[in-house]
Amino acid sequence: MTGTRSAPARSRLEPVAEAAHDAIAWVRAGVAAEGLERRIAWIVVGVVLVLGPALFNFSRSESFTAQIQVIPREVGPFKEIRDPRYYKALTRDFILRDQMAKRAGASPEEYAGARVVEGPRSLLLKVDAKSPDRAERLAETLGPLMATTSGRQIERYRTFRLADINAVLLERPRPPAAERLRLYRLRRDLRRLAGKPLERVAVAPDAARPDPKTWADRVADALPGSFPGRASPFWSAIAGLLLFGTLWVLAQAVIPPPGRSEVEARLPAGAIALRRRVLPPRGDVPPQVAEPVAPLAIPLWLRIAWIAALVATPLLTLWLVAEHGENVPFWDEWNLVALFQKQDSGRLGLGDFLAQHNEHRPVVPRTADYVTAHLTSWDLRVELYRNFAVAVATFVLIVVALRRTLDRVGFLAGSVLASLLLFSPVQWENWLWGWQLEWFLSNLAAVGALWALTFTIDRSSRRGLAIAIACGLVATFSLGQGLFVWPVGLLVLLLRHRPWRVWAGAGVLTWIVYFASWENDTGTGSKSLALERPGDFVEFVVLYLGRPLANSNATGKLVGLVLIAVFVAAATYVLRHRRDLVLVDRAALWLGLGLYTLMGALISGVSRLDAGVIAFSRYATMAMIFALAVMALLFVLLRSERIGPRVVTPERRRWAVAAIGVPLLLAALVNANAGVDSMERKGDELDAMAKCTRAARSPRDPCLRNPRASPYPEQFDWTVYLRRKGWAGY
Amino acid sequence: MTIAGVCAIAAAPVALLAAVAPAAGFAVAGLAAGFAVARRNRERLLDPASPFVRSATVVLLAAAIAGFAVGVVGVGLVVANWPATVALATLVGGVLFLAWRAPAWALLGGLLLVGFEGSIKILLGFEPTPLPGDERAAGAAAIDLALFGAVAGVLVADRLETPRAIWAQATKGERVALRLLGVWLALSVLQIAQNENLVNGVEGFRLFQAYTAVAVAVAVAAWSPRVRRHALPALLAVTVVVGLYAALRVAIGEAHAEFLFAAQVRTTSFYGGQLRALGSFSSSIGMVSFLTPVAIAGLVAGYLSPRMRLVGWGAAALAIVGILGSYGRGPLFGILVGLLFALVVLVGAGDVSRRRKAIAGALVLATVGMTYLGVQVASRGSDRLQERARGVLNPGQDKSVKLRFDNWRDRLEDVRSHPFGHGVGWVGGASANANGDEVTTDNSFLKVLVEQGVYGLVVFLAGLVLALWALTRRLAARGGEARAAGLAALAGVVGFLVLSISGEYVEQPGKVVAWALLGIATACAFAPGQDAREAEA
Repeated sequence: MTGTRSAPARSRLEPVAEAAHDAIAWVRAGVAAEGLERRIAWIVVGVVLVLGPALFNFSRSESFTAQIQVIPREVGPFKEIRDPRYYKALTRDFILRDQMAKRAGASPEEYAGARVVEGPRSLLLKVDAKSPDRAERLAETLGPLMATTSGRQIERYRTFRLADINAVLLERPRPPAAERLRLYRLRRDLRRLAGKPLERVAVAPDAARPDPKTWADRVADALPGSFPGRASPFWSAIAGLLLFGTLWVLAQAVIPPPGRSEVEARLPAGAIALRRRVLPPRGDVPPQVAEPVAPLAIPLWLRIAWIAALVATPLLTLWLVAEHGENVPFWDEWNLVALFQKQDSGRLGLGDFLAQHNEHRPVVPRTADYVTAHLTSWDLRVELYRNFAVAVATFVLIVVALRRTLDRVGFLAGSVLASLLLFSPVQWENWLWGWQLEWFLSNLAAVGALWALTFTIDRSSRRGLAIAIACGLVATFSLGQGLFVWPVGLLVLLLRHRPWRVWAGAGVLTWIVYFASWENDTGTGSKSLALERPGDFVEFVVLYLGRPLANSNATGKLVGLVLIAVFVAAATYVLRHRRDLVLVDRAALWLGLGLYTLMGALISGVSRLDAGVIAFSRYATMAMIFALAVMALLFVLLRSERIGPRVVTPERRRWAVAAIGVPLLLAALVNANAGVDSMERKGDELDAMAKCTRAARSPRDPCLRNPRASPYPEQFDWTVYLRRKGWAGY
Repeated sequence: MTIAGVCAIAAAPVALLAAVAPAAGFAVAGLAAGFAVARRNRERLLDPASPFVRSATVVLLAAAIAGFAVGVVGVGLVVANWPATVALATLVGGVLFLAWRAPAWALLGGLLLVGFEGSIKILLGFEPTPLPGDERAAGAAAIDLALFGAVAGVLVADRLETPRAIWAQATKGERVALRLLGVWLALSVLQIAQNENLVNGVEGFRLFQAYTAVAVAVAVAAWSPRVRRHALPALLAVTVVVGLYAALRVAIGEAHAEFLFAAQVRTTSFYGGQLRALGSFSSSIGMVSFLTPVAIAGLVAGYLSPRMRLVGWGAAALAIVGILGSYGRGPLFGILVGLLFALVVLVGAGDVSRRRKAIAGALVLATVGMTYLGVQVASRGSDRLQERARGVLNPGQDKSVKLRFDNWRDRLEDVRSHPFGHGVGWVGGASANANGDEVTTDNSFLKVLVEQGVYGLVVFLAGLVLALWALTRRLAARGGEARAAGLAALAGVVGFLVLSISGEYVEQPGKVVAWALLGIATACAFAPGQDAREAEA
């Protein structure tokens, strides 16, 4: 040992980083060299290639239904049948399946959704497919095959029955005379059928080809070649992005912008600067000096009153949960039973946890439910307390964030309002439903991610990014809305001039993983309704955000509009003053949180518009966070010394806080009573449901006909299973 | 350009549309016309003093904008309706572009596409593309276009200087090996005509012999010290992506589309009701052919070079998970022999300490033991799988091995009556008829024997063995990074050749990795001039 330290070893990933830097520098040089005309042209091309395909496919129908007339008829002693279940059973015939494969190249999955329904004059066989031609082909093949299958069935029956009858008639002692007469008649009828057509249905020769419904379908239909099925909007946008990127790179080489060579001449210096910015040596970025938090110097009585105000609403809600929470699975929660059954049969795999639920991939809540169930014999009341604990964690994080970003007056008022909003009984649906951990968890993770990107990252960029990415993953894999943490986080990082590439890369990867094998849930309607009914869509969004703070739909829309308008105005102000780093640092988290919830409202509008313009109680959890973010953002602005030309004196600040806080307080309280009532009603409903499903001893039990009590066909089997395990109070 | 010309160009897309031209062609034509008009007349369009401007500005601008708009919207429509086709076309275009500007990168891109051949075909199957042929043919053609484009790019850029340099350095024995391999290739071309069905002959040549060009191209690309230093890590990095997908699918199960796709292939896809893992490939054997050489090369490279440890062992671990999920036993045998080959070379090297040799031996034993343990765990799915797992220890008693022996015996009988072979393409994928029946030999060397006759096999085997021997000798004499990368690559090739004894793996996608590894081993063995770091080592 010489005692001298050698130079630090090159990281193994350094060559990769260098290559990435060179590539980035090359791209930046290209972008810098592009003139105005070319930039506009590229923007147009980019928009058309990326957004165009996505919107086009959003506007397309996912399936087309062809129908063909099916006329039931009597065949000898066999009466005509109009029961759809009979026709459904015919499609399971193995010869029919074989013929479908040979004649139409169709797998059983393709026509599994075929159904027979009552039409105006006869029955109608309806078959869905991805293209009109395919639907027509399937209907025209399946219809006649069903007819021949029914004939084959009768022939088989006839043969066996005749043999039976003959055997009985030859038996000694002979059957009674009346029975013999009946058998002779039946034998005669069956013999008469020989050589006659036995099909119990006549099928029309042609199916009606379904017409393309939307403009996009008509365009696709007009394209050369066979009708292309609807592609995934996401993947078509990705394909467009890929094409756009490649075209741009090709253009750089083939028809470079005139100024490219001059820009490239400056590249080394630029590349070095870029490298230092993208991957700075440790400690190269001076840590942001955290804004000192002044001690909360308030009198003792005020402190006690403040704490009492903070805990009042959570305690009330906790009491309501304890009072009305029931140990009974409700709606989506029944899906977990299938998971438990799989585990018992040793078939449970990772894929079961990753599976889609509607549009979501609730990996984390599903796992948490699974673990909780095993720890508590699936006592669903425990899940309610667990969800409450997650809400408390979110609240704590928000209070600490308020403390770091607001002055004393703003913090005191804001924290009390936050307590009122976050624990409002208006969210009764979520408080009494263990499954809704999705909402609480995605909110906690979103707040956590934005916290890490706003505060932790200033102390250590690696730690900040690691925490934020972990939270982003939890948010994404709890609720679909969680996907928006990534773009919102990116905006926060860009606004605060913090390293953003790792976050963006992680976001892109997460989106890809999320949407891999993702399928649009047909049960939740078309995702292009928002384009067809833009007015309803806007109403849905404003009601989503405003209804929890209003006593009627009309005022709810108004409140929603006001909240959105205030948020947009405040956000615009912050963006216009983005050089004011102190303002940006204080506002970033609230800006991000507001944007996140607003995007959540928009995507809910896209996904749930088919159910009508309704603000469910479960949406209130998201809406309350939006209101909270708007309030905090306004309080942050008030902390500035001046807003525009107007100086903000302490007195004005206090008045302004009161002017914002009091209406919000009233709005938060306006529905509290209704929320308490709703929780009571919901508790009663759950209680009745628990009694009904526990008492049911057969799938035909009348109480199981209530779709809210028994939303799934497998419900009774699941109940039996739970009873056997002694879980969920069964 | 005259106004008439401009109008003709602008009208071309419309005419194409009227003639119901393929949408893609229409869109690209429109886009090209728009760009061409705008570019060629840029100066005149910007110069207000030009007399041309006074007479034609409006027409030109309108034509350019119309062509541009129609083209962009047309391309947008194509993207919207056939995203997978567009993405594939873009990737292939990107690889071809790289083949022109950065050929070594193009080879990596081509390899990555080969690693996802099954996924590509499945994705193409989702959309009724206006392309001719089915999705399998279209996918295979696109991958071949990219890969051979990259090979051509490398060879054209090199102007065959590297092969000449290798020839110049080669010893007498090495030249014999090279000549034999050259003769075998030439013979293979001639024997295409020996097949009664010429199309099958060409297809057979494409499936096997044509891909040996990858070895030459990789050797050329890896000739320069800078590329050579990164060649194996880069190849392993690409295979990490492929292995990651395979391991992920082993963990979470295959997608529904993959299940359906696997059910259609001719190879055995199910064991006792369990679907064999197929990762991003068309079939399970396609996946193991790709992952087996990678696992060996990764394990050896990781041990010999700390620089490659992360990527090497990472790639190997993922590959082994995929292989275990395939329930194949041939790959395990291939891995064992590949590792033993590397161990023997190391033990024979004079400059390696005894401690390192002992550790290498222990690592080989540990890897084999853990892999066997993995086989036992992975085989719990059904009785049939457990039977297969037992067959690893008692191959002689195994039903599937016995079937192979029977098939080999039949084929050897066939060789007696046709000692000069049936011609290239008589065995394997090329021989498949419309019913999906094909002639199989269950052994790649037997395939050569049946197709090319005794002399064909003798020339091929002699060339191959001599080449491997020569490379081993050269690499054993080398030091540092060159030996580490070269030996790891060569061990991968040996493992693949051993795997090929149990099936026609030379037709599977793994052949591309194997030939690429052979190219790296050749470059490491022959290339003069070590970089500074290597010299230090």
